[in-house]
Amino acid sequence: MNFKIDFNYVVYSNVTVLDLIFAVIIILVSLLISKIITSYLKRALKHRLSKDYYKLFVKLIHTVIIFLVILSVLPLLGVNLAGLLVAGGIVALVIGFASQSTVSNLISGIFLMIDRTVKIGDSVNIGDVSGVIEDISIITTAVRTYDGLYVRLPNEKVFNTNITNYVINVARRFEYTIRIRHDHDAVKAMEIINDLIEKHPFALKDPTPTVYVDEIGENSIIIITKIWAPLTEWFNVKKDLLWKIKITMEDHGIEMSIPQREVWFANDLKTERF
Amino acid sequence: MKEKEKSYRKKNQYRSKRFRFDEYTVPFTINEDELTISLEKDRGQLIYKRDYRGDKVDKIILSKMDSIKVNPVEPVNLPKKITSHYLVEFENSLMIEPEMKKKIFLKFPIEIGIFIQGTDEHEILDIVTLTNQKYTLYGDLQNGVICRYYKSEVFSSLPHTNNLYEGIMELQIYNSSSDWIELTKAVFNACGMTLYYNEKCVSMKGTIKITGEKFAVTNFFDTPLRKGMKKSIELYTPNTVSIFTPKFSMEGGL
Repeated sequence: MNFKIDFNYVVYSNVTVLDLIFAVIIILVSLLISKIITSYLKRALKHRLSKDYYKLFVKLIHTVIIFLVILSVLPLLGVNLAGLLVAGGIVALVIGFASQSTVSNLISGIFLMIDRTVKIGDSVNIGDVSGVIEDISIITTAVRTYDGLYVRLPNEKVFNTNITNYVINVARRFEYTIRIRHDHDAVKAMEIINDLIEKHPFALKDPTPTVYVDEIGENSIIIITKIWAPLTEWFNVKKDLLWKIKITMEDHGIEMSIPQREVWFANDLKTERF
Repeated sequence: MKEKEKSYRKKNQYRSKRFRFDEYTVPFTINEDELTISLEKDRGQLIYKRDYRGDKVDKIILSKMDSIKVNPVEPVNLPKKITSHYLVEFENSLMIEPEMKKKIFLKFPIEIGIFIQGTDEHEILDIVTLTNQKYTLYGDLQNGVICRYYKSEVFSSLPHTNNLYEGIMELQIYNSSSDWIELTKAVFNACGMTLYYNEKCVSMKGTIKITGEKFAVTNFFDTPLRKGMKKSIELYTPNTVSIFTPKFSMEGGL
């Protein structure tokens, strides 16, 4: 039995067997490409978005690809898109105007994900909001402020605002400005500070801490102290060390200065001592 | 009343032991260099107490077992677990010629782990150290790692140590590069660190393979320094923390 396929056989209208085969191949290849893209996106977004949202986002991308494939395959199957596009264009225009800010937020959300400036759990400052990132969705970013408030920020605002991420590096520096009296020993004070830094486990050895006299001020000698600490510990180290420095310096007779002024009188004040 | 107190003290004196890494059965008290560890039974409950320079720990143990095991653990736990990396800085830097293989000895700080002996496994109860702790950053701020820091002399033969404070690390150095290399430090991942101990010392064996001017790979050997040494219970194992590998690539300078 000799079986031969006629590729130019017209199935219906002007659609041939070859057109049908092309359409099937395009659909299969597109599905494969969509699978590759979505599995890459799943890996990339898994740790950056909550489970529900990354699945939603991946599904959205998959749907968009399928929609574009159907549009490109329809002419092969003899469907005239001209009329469809005109009607679709008008509908799209209306929807576009109505959902301008939503689309803007959506695009910003996608850029935020690609930009990788923030992720869930990061301690951040976005504009005038400081706190921990609770969730990043396609449209909004949720921040839990340090005093326990829940703030929902549109992604467009997040993307267009200055973002400070406090936890992107493994260590963080803090600084003290210590003022001691002019008649007290600044060298001894610096020795005490250096010794306390050396003894504190989480005041990092490297990057090296810095202690120096910054200024001989009007009322005091100003000592600047710059210390690095592991990111997870920096606040504890900051509050712990400052008090230890104060107490230890006082134990050694070095006092913090208070604003003071020496006044010279031209005439004798004629005061009496009782 | 006084007689009662006297007899209690006498009893405790009898129970009081010198410190050594071992298994202890209730009741006992260890007294050594300001460190006191005790385990007593009170109305069916096991009471664990530890005191070092005013840093006290009191715990009630609800278990059928009546013994605890005291052995050295990886020195990266105190005062708080924030890293699994350990950096040792050499007091004198080493100049190593190309293709050179050399064995050196270093000291490392001891952290004492106190484990409850369960029916089939051990559970950590407390960790204490008599040494100072210090941490440092290895590498840059973004890609670097926080490490437990320790500065050690470099020894060509086995140094003398006190089990309470320091252990001995045998480090096999291999410069596989074609240049002379100056080595000032070594960084290790505690996953894979295996400690062995006996009456005289606590030990571990490591290796550092220098592959370039700024690159090296460190690892551990799971073998004792001397025959007959006991293996410590590990807190960090590559199996339990699968994202870590025992090897550490030093890419932030030597």
